[in-house]
Amino acid sequence: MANDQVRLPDLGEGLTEATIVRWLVDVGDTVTADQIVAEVETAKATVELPTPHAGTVAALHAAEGDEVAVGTVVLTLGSSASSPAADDAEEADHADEGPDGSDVLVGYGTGRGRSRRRRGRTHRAPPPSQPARPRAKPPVRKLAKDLGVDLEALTGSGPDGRITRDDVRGAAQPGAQAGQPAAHAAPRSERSGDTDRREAVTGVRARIADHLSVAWREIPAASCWVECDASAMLAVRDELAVAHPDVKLTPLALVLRSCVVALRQVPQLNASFDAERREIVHHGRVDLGVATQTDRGLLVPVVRDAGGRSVLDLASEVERLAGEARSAALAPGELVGSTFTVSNVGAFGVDGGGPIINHPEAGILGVGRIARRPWVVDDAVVVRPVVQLTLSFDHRVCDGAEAARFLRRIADLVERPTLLLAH
Amino acid sequence: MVRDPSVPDPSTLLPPDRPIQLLDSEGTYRADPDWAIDLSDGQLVELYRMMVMARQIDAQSITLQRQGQLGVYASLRGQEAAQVGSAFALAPQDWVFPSYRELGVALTRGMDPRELLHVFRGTWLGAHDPAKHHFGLITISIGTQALHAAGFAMGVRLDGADCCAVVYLGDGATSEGDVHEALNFAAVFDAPCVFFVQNNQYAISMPVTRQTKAPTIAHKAVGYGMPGYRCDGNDVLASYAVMRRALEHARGGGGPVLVEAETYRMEAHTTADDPTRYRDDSELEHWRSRDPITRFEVFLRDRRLIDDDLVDTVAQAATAEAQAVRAAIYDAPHGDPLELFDHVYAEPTPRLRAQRAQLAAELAGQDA
Amino acid sequence: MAAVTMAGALNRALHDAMDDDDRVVVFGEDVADLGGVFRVTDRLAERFGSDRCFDTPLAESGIVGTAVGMAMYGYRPVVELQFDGFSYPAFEQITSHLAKMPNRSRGTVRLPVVVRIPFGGGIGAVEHHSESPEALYAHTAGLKIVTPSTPSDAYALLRASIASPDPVLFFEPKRRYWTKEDVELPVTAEPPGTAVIRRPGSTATLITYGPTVATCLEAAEAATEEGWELEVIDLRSLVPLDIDTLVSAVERTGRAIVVHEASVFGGLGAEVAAELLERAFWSLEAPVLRVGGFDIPYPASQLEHYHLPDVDRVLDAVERSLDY
Repeated sequence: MANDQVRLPDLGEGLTEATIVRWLVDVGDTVTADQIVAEVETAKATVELPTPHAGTVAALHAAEGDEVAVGTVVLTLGSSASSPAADDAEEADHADEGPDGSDVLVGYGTGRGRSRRRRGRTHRAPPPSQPARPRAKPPVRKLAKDLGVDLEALTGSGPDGRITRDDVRGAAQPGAQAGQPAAHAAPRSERSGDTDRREAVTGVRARIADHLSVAWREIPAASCWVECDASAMLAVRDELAVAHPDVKLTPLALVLRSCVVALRQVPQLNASFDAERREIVHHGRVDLGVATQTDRGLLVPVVRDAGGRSVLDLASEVERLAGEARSAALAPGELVGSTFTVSNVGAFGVDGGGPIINHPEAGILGVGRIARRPWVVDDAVVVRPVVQLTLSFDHRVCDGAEAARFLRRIADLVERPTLLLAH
Repeated sequence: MVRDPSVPDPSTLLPPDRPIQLLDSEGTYRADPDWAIDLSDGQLVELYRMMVMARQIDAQSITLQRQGQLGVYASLRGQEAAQVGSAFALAPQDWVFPSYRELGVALTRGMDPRELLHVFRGTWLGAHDPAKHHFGLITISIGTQALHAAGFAMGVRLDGADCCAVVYLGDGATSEGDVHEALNFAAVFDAPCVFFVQNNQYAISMPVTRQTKAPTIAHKAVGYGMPGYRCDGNDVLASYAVMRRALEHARGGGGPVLVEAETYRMEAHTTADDPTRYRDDSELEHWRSRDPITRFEVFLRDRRLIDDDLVDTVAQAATAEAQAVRAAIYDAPHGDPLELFDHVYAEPTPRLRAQRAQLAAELAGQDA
Repeated sequence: MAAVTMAGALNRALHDAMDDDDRVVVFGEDVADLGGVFRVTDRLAERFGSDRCFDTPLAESGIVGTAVGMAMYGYRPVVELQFDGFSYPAFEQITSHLAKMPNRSRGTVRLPVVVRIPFGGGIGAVEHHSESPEALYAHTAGLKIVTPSTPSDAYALLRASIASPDPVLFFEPKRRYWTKEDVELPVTAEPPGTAVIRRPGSTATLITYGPTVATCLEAAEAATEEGWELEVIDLRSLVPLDIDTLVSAVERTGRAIVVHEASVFGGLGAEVAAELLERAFWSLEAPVLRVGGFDIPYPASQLEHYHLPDVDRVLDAVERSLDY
């Protein structure tokens, strides 16, 4: 507590105010520590008020007859240099600071509980264990029971694999019997000769299918595309490849770098829409997913902290991840947590494509093949290597102008890779 | 367990018509052959020093409460002779079971007063190790400590050890059932327990005349089959002598004793009380003239055991002690909230560990 | 192996505990010459002398309060409060001192006291002799609450409680004092704080303690006629509560029913239900149901069987649970 302030303490078990009955000192008086300076009256009694500190009375902040709240400064002192009690008080001034920074003294009134702690939603701990039963809240269980849906046969699309009402309704078919999984379509009658072959969707395929279904269902995606002259980018790539023959440096690596730079400039695209909490999560870091085709299906290994990597680093990391993805050597942790994804559809020989967003990210960049095409330069038609970039974006997270601006940025960096040096 | 099933002669148990007094309110000493004082000059001065210190620290404690440093405090002002005199008679191995007003007893037993004041400050519920000073924890629920003292003394009896339990009670406490049960247990089992009642005339606002119909509180003793002693609680010499006799009786296998020390509570019941609502100045004036320290100072001066210099020295030393207490208590840190879970059981249960972790997380989040 | 009654097992536990540690003392009303109104303290005074097993005046608060003092001195008192309804005069000493002194002293004072309390009804007694006050005490931080249901557990849990550094309220189901079990004493068992599955099952889990464990086992046997395999878990300790065992059980069966003699409102069943709801939410096929006494003062002896939970009421609850 400040050495020059005398506050009205709680004078008896939770009283909130008191009346100054009589001042026993005047401005200018010298007082010693513990000297009685006033008589105050509470709801219970009239008591004396001793000053905790020595000094000269500089000001009285309440008049006789005033009702004063507990904790109010009622008297201010100027310091008295040669008082031993003042020295004591200073020595003892290891005040226990309360969470709001003020001194916490015993008995300083009611309502001095802890200051507010919550500053918004706190981190939710992951569920402790997988229960033996399907995760469904009671209303959902009832719905399943009423519709004759077997919860055991469903995969939940909600958080933590929770089964939602939609999951149950989706599984319920008219005429389905109770207890039967209703997920399959009714079989076609057999024709002689051609028979349908059924393939169970399980494992990785099932997960991919579910993931894409969620993305398709939930995200209102729009897209925009742009064609770029890749000649400058290819020239830079060639030069770098000569200087670093040990690294497999593809044009994709330069596109990735351009993407990362553009994400820093238009960070709305490095985000996720959390439908459950109705919040947009702006990611602090760029973890770039790079869609990779494997025998088992489309996997998206993640280049961690792509923003902190050079082009060469990106290239070698992508090469490593792709190799491990194809040989099924990736750890599960390397396949999750991307904040933005790039899909190199051009690797399959197509000009472009509208990729499905990697839920719950805000955008995905499709990169087409680099093909030699007619291109206009200074009003003349020339042949240039042209690449089409397509951006699919979550229209809830950003609008068309922002998305276009982002895509334009990437295009600029592809066409003029020298600009990359500025970042 | 019951040693002596014989029925005592009531006449040996009834208290005298007047409380034992060796030093009257003017400070005149009248020796009584039945109550010889064997204290040395040094010890007499020590009694004085302890009473002055008790008063000073008591006053400092009230001030600390008025400054918001203690939540509440129960003053012993006026009761210094009863507390210091009686405590002075205790042997080191004896145990005290206090209520909440026994700062004078604690000081005489060599305790650091801040160990009691932290309870009033709300730092912890108990702030000292009872085994260290043979001084039980401050007990707020009236009279319940009497049973603890009786049980303790029963344990002493079983062991045949040389130890007395002394429980300090107020006049109001004698109405509580636990005190009745404790007196009964102690007497039935011949436990070496002294029940020292400071009759300071009030239980908050209830005068003792309406607390009990008994002729005196000491008269209650005969009902339990134990002797009842009376002393002038503002006379430190009588308080000492009577307590010493009681301890001898108990220690010698005679069983428990009830001692009533008549005194007066000069201050409010606690700092939260307003005594002007139920007693008037004339009563205070009457008891002010019977102040225990004033009369003892007169006695000591008559005996040439103290002079102005010594009085000053003692006063200054007491003030210095009070200042030290102030410095120690003022703005002292509060207890660690995470300790709340440590002593509920000898080992925290899983549930308590989880709750401790929850509080730790809250505290960590708060600092973030 | 001999057939041992619960009262006999408790008596044996006291003899053995007093043999092992001469700081253990037993006192209360009528525990010495009479050997206790239920003979649980039979012959202790004869064997160990009146300094170690003695009668007290008629004063329950005094019994517990002096036990506190004796423990402070260094003894390990095992005291008896003659009946559940007569624990109330000692309520303050139990809740304000026995429960709190270790905490109030910041761990410097230990009170290794056991308060034995015969509890529960079904014995045709007059008023105040058939109470189930365990929830009143379970709600008091600082106490351990233990209650056996079998003779072997009575022996093992009492020995463990006497050895504990914490104050223990030991609730003995008095209507089971004369049930027999073939057991060779001494035995040890799971420590206090652990619940035990008395009968495994898959249809639903009955969670219970003390006198109603036998009721639930009977109900589980009867339930096989309806094609139900009921699991029965004996809590054995109310504080601390072994919630982990209960959660595992519910994760397996999905259904829990708590059974106790105590009135349902504010009883231990409410605590178990709340904990299971929070900890095993995703596994619950039905709400946790409670079967217990009505919310009335314990009735006169001729009417007590309407009040106490019986096999049919337990099975009614199982059926209600299965309907969800």
